[in-house]
Amino acid sequence: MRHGGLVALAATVPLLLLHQTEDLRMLTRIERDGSGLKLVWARADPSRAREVRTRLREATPGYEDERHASEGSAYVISRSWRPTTLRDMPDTKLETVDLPQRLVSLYNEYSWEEKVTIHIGPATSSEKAGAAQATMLYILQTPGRVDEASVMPLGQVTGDTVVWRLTGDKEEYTLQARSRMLRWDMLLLLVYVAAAFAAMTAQWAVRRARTRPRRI
Amino acid sequence: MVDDFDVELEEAAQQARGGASAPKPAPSTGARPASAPGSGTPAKPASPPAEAPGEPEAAAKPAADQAEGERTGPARAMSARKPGLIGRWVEAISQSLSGLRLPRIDLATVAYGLVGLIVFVLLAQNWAPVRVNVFGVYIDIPKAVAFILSVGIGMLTLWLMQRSLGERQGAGRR
Repeated sequence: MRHGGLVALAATVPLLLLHQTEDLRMLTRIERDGSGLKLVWARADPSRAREVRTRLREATPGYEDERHASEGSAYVISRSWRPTTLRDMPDTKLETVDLPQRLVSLYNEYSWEEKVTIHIGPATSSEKAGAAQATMLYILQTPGRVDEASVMPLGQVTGDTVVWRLTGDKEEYTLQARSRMLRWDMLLLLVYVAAAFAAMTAQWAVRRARTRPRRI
Repeated sequence: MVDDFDVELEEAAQQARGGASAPKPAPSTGARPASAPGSGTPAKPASPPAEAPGEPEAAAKPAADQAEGERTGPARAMSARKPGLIGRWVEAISQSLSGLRLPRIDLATVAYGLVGLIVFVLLAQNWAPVRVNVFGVYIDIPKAVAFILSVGIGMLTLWLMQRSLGERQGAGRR
């Protein structure tokens, strides 16, 4: 793995792979601490298993985990990598606003940008002609709700997930999304401290009321 | 318990009813008679010394007393200062509060709760999975669990070593 596997994360998908697979998905999951998961999942005809496996390995050289399965009559392969940080990778940009960046805020913010390249490579002319029909899904999962206005290009947003459908007729995509997550843990701490303070004040007030001389 | 205030109220009521027979305390100054300490009831005011009849000043004195009595009116009870609106509210609130039975919350309980909550928050913040390579098999477990597991394994190892060492030392002594 070169440069700690960073080269592996430059998302370049061969057009051939799009043609050889029935369903191809790329998943990027961002965790709240900036770490994440990169996963490529493909389903293909069992007769193409070897080709798909080879292409997928070439496209994801730094991915450490590989799993194979058969779903009915289809061959399924997934390769994944769990980097300790998604911040310093080529062709990707992750900016997080957490406690150290902004102390007084109710939310953490995450801005994500990635460049995905569809590599035409040794594709035949017929494969190039059918590039518009060759599609893949790019799924981004973020901590917190995704801000729909920030999603570029237009994708399908559901809560913390954005799904883009990429076609082979465009060579490069720049995917962007932003999300916000409530700092529920800090709020919990604040509520506890406030409740404890209120309870102790009430206790003090009751004690004082009992010791206060009453009018007869 | 009867205090000076009640006795004065009672006497004032008697006077208002026309109880002339009761000895009248000197009303002019408004000063209350001194009560015996610890008795709970006020000492009766000293009766005026009996004047010998027939003396020239003896006839003039009751008339002067009467005139003074008409000027000042009957003896009145000293009223305590009435509490204002806020005072009444404070009193009502404090009376209702004094009836409350709250669970006792001391600083140590709050501190223990806070420490527990901080541990929980730290666990939640470090719940992002980390990949562990177990002889070629990759397992994703939360960082917090990995940390607790590694600390636990270390503690268990040390405990087992200590135990076996203790058994060996015990066997050597025997």
